[in-house]
Amino acid sequence: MFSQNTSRLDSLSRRQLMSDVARYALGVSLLPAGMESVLDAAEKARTSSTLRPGGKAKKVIYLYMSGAMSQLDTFDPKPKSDVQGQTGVIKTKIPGVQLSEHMKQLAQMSDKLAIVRSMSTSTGAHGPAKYLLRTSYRPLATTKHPGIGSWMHKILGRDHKELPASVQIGGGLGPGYLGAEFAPVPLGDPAKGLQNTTSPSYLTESSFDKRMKLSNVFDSDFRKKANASSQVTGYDDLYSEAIGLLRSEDLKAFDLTKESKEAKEAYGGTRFGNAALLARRLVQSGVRFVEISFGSWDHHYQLFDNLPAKAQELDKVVGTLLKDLQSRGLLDDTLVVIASEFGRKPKVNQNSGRDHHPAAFSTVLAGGGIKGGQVYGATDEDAFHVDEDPVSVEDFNATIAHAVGIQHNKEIFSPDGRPFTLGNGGSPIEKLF
Amino acid sequence: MMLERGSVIYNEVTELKIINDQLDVIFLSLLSRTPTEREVASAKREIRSAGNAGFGNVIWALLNTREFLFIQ
Repeated sequence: MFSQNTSRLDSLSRRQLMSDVARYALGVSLLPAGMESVLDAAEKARTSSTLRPGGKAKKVIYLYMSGAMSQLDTFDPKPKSDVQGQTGVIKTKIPGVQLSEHMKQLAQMSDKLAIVRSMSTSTGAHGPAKYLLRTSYRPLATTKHPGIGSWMHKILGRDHKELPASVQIGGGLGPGYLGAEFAPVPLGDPAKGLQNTTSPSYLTESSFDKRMKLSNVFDSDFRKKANASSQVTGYDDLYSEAIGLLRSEDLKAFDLTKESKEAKEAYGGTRFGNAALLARRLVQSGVRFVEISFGSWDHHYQLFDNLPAKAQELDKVVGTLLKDLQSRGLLDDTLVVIASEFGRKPKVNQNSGRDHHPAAFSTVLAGGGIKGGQVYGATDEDAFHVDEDPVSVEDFNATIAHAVGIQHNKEIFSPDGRPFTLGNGGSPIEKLF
Repeated sequence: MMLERGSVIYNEVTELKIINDQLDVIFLSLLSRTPTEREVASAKREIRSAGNAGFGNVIWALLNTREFLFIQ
């Protein structure tokens, strides 16, 4: 009876619901049709006066630095302070801005980067902070929230009919209340691509189809009973999509052996390098969101021995990725994100490490309509507190939402009817667009 | 592996001689219920056409039902 499509979870905004209920139950229209667009415009004006339109990013490559990356030894060094320790600094293309000495390539490409130095989060425990970073919500016993990839799948749909909307390399979050249909496809080793994709030799396509048909016969009664549950129907879609993908030519998007030796070498041939190369292949082929986990940054011990190699690998891989995307004309519509669940305590501890520090950390955005060559926000002289332009995790996710063309305050509903937004009350950072 | 000699379901099915009993065992093992008449008919058709491999197909088909995934 509602005028909008009300398939489960489809967001019916509160205003739309009110006006629909009023129209049908009371026989009146709450708002004349013309008024609604006026209201929409007013709402837009209220939430963002100078915000330039986003939506240039069609794809996202999300590089997640697992274990909490030190801000001081990467993107927010403090050479004048004692806390800097042994990590040196280098100049960038942005006047007056330095990065740690490990970021050689990225310093040269800083005109493409927007470095956010004023991030803070509300928890210093890895699990909850990771969850918050990926979903904008704190973990709850009652609700599992979806990550950004599942959001993009839900709101924007898929970009390619066979390939999945989102892929995770090395772990990530499930689809939460959105259900199996919106689950990211998990990959372990990027060099191996998508595993278990060839049928055993005894199973021909026709005998496979016969088995599926038999399975559907056996399952018909149960499905009639369970039809109302999105959990169950989600699996139907998952099955048919998986079968479609297995028989698709596009499966080669997952195959790194199709890349040249030079390309593999440029990315360094490490697990992270291969993952980034695969991510480029995937977004090029039509996957919307690729998350890569790169760990472990949890340098409580011997930071100055252990961090450099990791930071240099990050620098090399991201440098290569940005160049590769640009040379293929993909950087304009691909947002590259470097994020971490929190930062590290500036004061070096007795084990020559840095401990957890949620009060200040850095993230980086590039491509996808983000204005590069800038540093947003600042920390104090020790990178301990945020001094200027604080950015919450929710603001950061609202910024990503804006970049990909999802209204950061657009509500979707969990099956139990609770409203959620991708930004969870955060606002996009206007200066980055 | 489930379909090889020595697995519980293989042994239990091969011990029985009557196809209806065999199907009961398969359904009880996987879905904890006996098959309906319609299911028996489909399964028999499959087993008649594919021989012993038909049992494997029936088991595979049951493992891939939503009912198996969401079994209460």
